[in-house]
Amino acid sequence: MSWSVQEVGQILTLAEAGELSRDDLARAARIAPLRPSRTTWLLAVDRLFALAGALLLAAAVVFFFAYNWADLHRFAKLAVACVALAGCVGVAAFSAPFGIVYRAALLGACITTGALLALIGQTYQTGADLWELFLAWATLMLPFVLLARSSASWALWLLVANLALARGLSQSGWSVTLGDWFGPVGVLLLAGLNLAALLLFETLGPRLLSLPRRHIARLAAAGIIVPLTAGAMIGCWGGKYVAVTMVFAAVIAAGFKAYLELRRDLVMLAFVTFSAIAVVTTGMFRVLVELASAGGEEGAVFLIVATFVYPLTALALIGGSVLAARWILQLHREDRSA
Amino acid sequence: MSARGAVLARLASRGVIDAARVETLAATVATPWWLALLQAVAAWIASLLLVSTFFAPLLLAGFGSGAAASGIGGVLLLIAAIWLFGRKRIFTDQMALAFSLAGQALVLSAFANFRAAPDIALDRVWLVGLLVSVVMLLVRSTSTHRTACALLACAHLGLLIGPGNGLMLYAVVLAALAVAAWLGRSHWRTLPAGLPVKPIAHALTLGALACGWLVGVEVSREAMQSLAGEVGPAGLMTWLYPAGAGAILLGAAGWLSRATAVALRGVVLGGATLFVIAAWQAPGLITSAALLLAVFHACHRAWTGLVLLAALLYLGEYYYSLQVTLLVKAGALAATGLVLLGLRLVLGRWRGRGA
Repeated sequence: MSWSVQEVGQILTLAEAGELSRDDLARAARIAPLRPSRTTWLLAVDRLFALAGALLLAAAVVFFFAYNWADLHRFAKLAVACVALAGCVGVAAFSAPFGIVYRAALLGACITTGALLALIGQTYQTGADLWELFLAWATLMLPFVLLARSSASWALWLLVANLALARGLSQSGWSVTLGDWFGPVGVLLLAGLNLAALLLFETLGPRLLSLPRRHIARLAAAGIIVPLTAGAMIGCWGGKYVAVTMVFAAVIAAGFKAYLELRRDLVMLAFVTFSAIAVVTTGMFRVLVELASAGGEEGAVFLIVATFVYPLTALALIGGSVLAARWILQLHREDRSA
Repeated sequence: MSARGAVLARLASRGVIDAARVETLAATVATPWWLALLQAVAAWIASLLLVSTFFAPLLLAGFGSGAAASGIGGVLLLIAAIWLFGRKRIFTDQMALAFSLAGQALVLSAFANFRAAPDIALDRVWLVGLLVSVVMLLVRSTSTHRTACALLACAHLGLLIGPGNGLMLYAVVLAALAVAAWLGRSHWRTLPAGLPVKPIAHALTLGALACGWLVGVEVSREAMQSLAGEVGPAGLMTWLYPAGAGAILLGAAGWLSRATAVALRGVVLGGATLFVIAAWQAPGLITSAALLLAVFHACHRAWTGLVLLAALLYLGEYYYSLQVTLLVKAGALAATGLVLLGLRLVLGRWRGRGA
């Protein structure tokens, strides 16, 4: 009998945390040594050397082409990128569907698609804006993403789609009417794009992913919450972001309803709760600063803000965070014991 | 069942611990990392507000930019941090971490701005930083804080040594200590209680990887200087780092294979020697390989992944380094890759024999 690498790691961690005594550790070591067995070493080395050897050879090829890049004809450069793309697709075609090699090869195809588009843009100076490159990349890699059904490929697609929208809002003609990507409309559009992705994965997740994981749904939720929280915090100081604050409030309410009652997801719930605390604390800070500023001199106001408003805000933040953490931890315990 | 629960069940089934202990240990629900992270962010913002509260009156009174205010403020923050660490809550632990780091920075800045001695050497500032971080490392606190303090101590010592051959030697020493620490992980429990071995091992590993990168930058800068016809402060012994890293890798491979058959040991040591020769122009790969052997032996999965990631990042940095041409680098990488693939074939014979 021997302990697995994961088991030895856990046993040593328990001992280092003082949860296992020296005698416990000695008893565990008497059953089997607390280190990887020779078989484990040979298996790990076999996998690592195959992967690292192939990777180093691939890196050597990249370095070799980089050394000769300036002397290559543009067709040769495009051929290099096309061969890399074809190689990735070829490996995926001849590997077991949805295995690690298959998914890694298709992720490689997604990345190479972007590199090929960038190379075409650089070689022929098409005059396209960056957002057009991102849009074309997101569109052209979609078939590979749908075939791969992997979280990594979908994460890349979502990132590129967000970049296309953010850059499009800054560079396209829409920026005249909609404002910059961090204007109120830009924030709402970014949140809208990610909301669409979230709804897609909440409803069709099992069909879009080969392994039922929540990574992409959570990533999309971050894409909704982060811009909306930032916008709502600015909105607490009034101005044109008030609409964002109202949408934020609606999203938070919907988030609590969805992830507490409809589909229990504590990560999402923690995300929503702490975002709400951030915005409420900012609102409280604003009210306190306004109260302190009423009719005072600049120096006195600074002193009042620093002496009373900062610690009060800090206390509110501490109180809110501690209560929220206790509540989520309680739910976590309930889920584990259920 | 979680990995922790599975291990506890296995320990109970093998009679290492009894069922009552399993129940007690299983009832301890650790805070999930994502919740700890969100709490940490909130704690850091709250700490920033509280530190501002503390320093605003000093600023108004005109002491804010002075060395005395920074020094007193720094010491008070360090005391507050020590007190908060005694509360043993995630939130207070994070606040204490923020206070400790801010306090150490303030003490350092107070020493650097000490007006009574304007010509104070920078070396003494790093020495003070080293002392403060070592003292805070010994304070009973969280693993994160102790790792941060150990890392700061490593950084201050590195700054004290300065660039050049000293840095290369320091990088080799850090890597050797990190490898030795992880190879001896199963004996940590036998060391005196309270000795922060694990945080020091974390800091040494991170420091060794960072120093490997800094050595690359240093060698690259020297190559640029020699291209421009300039002469550096002292002739850089560029062989020092790859030779040191190679010795560590051979030492680790030799120690790990000490109980194996002579033939297998010969293959392991011969393979490690070939790897060192092939990767001589890319010494970061040799350091990564030595660290990888050590952390895998220690069964630390997170560091195994991180060291592999560091090796990948090193390749990115290596691309832009200027000491050799891309053609030479391509040759070195190809040779290293072929050595690994060749070794895999040779070691496959032992794997086929079923251990």
